[in-house]
Amino acid sequence: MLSQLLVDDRIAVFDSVTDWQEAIDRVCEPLINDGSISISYKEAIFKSTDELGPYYVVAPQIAMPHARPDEGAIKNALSLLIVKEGVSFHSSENDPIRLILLLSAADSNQHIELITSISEFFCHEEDVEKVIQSSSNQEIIEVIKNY
Amino acid sequence: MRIMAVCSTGLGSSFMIEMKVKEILNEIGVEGEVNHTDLGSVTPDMADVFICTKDLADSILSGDVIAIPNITDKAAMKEKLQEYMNQ
Repeated sequence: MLSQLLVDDRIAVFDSVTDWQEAIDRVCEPLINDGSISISYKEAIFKSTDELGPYYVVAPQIAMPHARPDEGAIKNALSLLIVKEGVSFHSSENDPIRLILLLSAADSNQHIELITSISEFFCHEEDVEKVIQSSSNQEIIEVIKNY
Repeated sequence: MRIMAVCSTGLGSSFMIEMKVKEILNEIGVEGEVNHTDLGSVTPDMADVFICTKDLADSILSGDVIAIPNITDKAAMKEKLQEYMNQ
């Protein structure tokens, strides 16, 4: 499931980014470009972050930004951004964030399967670490093909 | 016991937490009703306890709240749930 959605042009590896806003911009870019999400989806993430804090930081190093389906999710899609040096999302216990997985869930049935796969991946710490240490998209694809 | 996992949209981390809580209840042999919802839908009467990521805990104003810093750390989640049940 993950490997079907996380294709080469939806994966990006950066050494560093200026701030969490740039990280959100960069992780949204491929899905805006291919029509999987609208710009309003990204804006909804910024707005909710301002209101609630980094609600999508789920574990050390890991953020899974997403908004509600009705806020501009057009297709079920994922985009992955790795920031090698890490970036602060102002999360009290889980900063710095190095793995940012943008989730767009438009269809609720497929979404259940998708969340299950993502959860399984996040719970395999050694694979999360491998993905963060990867220097190419191909290496990342090699790890996530198991999910 | 009714447990409600909460996140801002009701489809990301809350769903992941629900799956883990169900696994934990099974392991420790406790009967419970576990669901997930979004922050905007939370009402005090919908559950005995709410469970969410740490960064969202302050936004839930009703009832008992268990805050989870790391949703992949099942052992810590289990400990917090047992701590709550033993109160």
